[in-house]
Amino acid sequence: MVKLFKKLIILAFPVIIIVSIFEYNLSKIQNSYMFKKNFLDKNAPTLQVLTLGSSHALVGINPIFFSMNGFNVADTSQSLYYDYQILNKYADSLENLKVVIIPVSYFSLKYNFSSSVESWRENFYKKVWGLDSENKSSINVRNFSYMALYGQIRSLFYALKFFDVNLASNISKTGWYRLDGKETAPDSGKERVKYHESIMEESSFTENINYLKKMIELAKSKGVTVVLITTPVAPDYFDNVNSKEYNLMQNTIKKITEEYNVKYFNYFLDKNFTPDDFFNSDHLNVEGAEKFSKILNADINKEYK
Amino acid sequence: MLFNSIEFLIFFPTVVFLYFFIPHKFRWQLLLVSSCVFYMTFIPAYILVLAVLIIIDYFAGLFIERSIGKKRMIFLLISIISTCFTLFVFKYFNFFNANLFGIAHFFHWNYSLKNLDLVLPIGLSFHTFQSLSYVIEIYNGKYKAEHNFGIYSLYVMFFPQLVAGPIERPQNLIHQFYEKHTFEYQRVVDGLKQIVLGLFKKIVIADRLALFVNQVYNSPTDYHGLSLIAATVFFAFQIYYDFSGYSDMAIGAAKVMGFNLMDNFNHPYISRSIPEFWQRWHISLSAWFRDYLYIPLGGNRVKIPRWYFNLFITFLVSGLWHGANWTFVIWGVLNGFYYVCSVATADVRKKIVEFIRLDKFPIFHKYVQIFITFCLTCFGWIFFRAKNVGDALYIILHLFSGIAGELSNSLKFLYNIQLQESFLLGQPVYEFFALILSFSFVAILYFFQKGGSDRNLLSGKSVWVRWPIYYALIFGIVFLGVSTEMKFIYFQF
Repeated sequence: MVKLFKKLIILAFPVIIIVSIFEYNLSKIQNSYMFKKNFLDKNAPTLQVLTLGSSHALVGINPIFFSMNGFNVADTSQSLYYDYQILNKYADSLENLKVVIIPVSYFSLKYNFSSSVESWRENFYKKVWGLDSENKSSINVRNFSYMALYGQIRSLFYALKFFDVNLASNISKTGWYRLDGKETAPDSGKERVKYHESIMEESSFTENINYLKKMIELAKSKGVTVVLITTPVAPDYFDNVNSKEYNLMQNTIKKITEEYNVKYFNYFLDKNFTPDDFFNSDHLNVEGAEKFSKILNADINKEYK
Repeated sequence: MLFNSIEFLIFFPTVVFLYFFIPHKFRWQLLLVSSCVFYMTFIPAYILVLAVLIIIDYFAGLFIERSIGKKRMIFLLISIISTCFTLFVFKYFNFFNANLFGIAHFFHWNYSLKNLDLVLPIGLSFHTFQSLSYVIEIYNGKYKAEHNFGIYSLYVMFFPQLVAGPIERPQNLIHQFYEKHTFEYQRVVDGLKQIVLGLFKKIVIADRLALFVNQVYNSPTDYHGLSLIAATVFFAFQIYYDFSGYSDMAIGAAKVMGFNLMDNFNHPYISRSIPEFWQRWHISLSAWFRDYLYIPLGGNRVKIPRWYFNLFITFLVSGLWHGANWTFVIWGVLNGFYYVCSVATADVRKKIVEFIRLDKFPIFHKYVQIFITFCLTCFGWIFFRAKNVGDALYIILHLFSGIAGELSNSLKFLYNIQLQESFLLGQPVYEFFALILSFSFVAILYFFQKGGSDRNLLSGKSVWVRWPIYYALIFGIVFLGVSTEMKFIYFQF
């Protein structure tokens, strides 16, 4: 047995060294999660407006156009559960927070991050934000290894660049993600709706409403104004949504806004936006984000006053 | 607990370490407890289902052995019916119920039996078959009933082969639980090598192929022509590397502890005929069906129509064993049809080969046979992988649609977007190259193995051959493995 252990150690030694080098260097690569967490850790007390949400808010809301000091903490595929967890984690340090913007997309109320194809991103919330997954799952190698999290082949590409990579390079200092022009080969609105409906689960509906209510209650307990919004989409997205699902979403939001006396701005099919404002059927581009952020700022200011 | 999970990476060395450090008399208890822990990591409550099956077949075995005459048959039937009933409730009830509902609806009958809201216990089809082989062997007088309830439980629950086989016979496995296995360096190393090879097959090749296959088979109507062909061929390799990878890990894990499990695969895609394919594919299941269904039906020692009928029934049941879905039934029937055609046309085909003088070129003839067998097998896999019969039919009807244009465009190959659309199936190009790299590596490995078994991987080769290959396997797993823990395909059965 001693002979076996000796040989296994000899065999494993170079592997451990190389993997350790990869893990160390990958852990230093700047990504959006790291950037946003570090920003909140340092600047939370100075923030007046906080934007939560998924990619729709990430690319659509640029707090640079707000009249108050704002930051966009939205991220790709971020669910209401993580919106709540982030708000809850920083609630005490957001001493000057005046307004919290909670985006509710078409899919949000029935979205379950853990069972979606984007579930791998959850590990960033664990590793970077220190937030547990909504659904407790078995031990996942991605919780321990950046190489598994980024994907091994991608890690090899990063190694070829001597790990000189910045994955947050498209993110502005206010947390907004810049999308220029038009997507080269975008999915149609129908395909995007189909995808979003594929990640909606009936069983997640009640829990998501609970997270939404918890966020509102938490914000109100701190004297913060809550604004619920739905970001604009292109007509070919809107035309393909299931009207029954959309009405359920609208009725649910209406009930919550009445129950908690909070404002809801629905820009889902806002006529102010033209096809030139969209990167694809449901994400705004740079011009669209500027237009939307200014409109949102004006509406928030009316509400806040 | 999957073999390709971190839990298993902790669980297995712990069990092995304890196994060799505790006295021999306590080892079977350790393995039994470990197997219970292993099984309960899936759905803990379902160990009760397994316990009921074990109790029924344990006592059935004892009663069969003690009885004479018709009583033996009665106890055997009680065992078979109760075991199959359990399998029926969990696996087939909803399938039959849905079909009965469909028939009732067609004839406007009043039928309102609701479906059962049950999750299929993992590996149920495997351990029910292993239990059945035990009672049948006792009934046939080929094996004496095991009196130690713990050892019998371990025979059904032995964790390396609990959830997806190989389906063992009592003659091969039970006596090994009584034998004292010492720590033998070479055997342990061979077992570890087989585990690593199995892991490579699973997470580097099968799981990467799954990325391509799932893209198409989850939404087949978005594709046609070469994409459907590519996805189907990829699936043929995915299921092979997935299941043979699992089998390698199961056999290797057992070998580390001194147990010898039967081989489950023998390079099936080099088969020159369908009957040969079934001798090389999922050997333990094929042997089970041969011994406990095909031969009792009369095998080939009957009149020809009856022989063909026996073959058909065996493959039909084999299809149904894989899953409660018409796709699996059709897959089974299709393979039965292949098999019958193969034996029925053997003489005619031989004459054709002689007539066109193909027999003068034996190597070319061999590769033609391999190619045809592979194509027939792939055609069958369409039904196996498709979500429903509608999808399967769509794929079949569109396999060659637009293919002429795609092929002509593919002449411009590397520079043409058609390559990306037809072969990459929505995956990044580096995934495709990783696939090619891993396939090439396996080809080199088998070159050194000279087509031998995975059981004694690289045995007798010099250190200059072995160690680079060990490192290639390990670095392949670390750097090219797909890090999502994908379940083994056969776990669903």
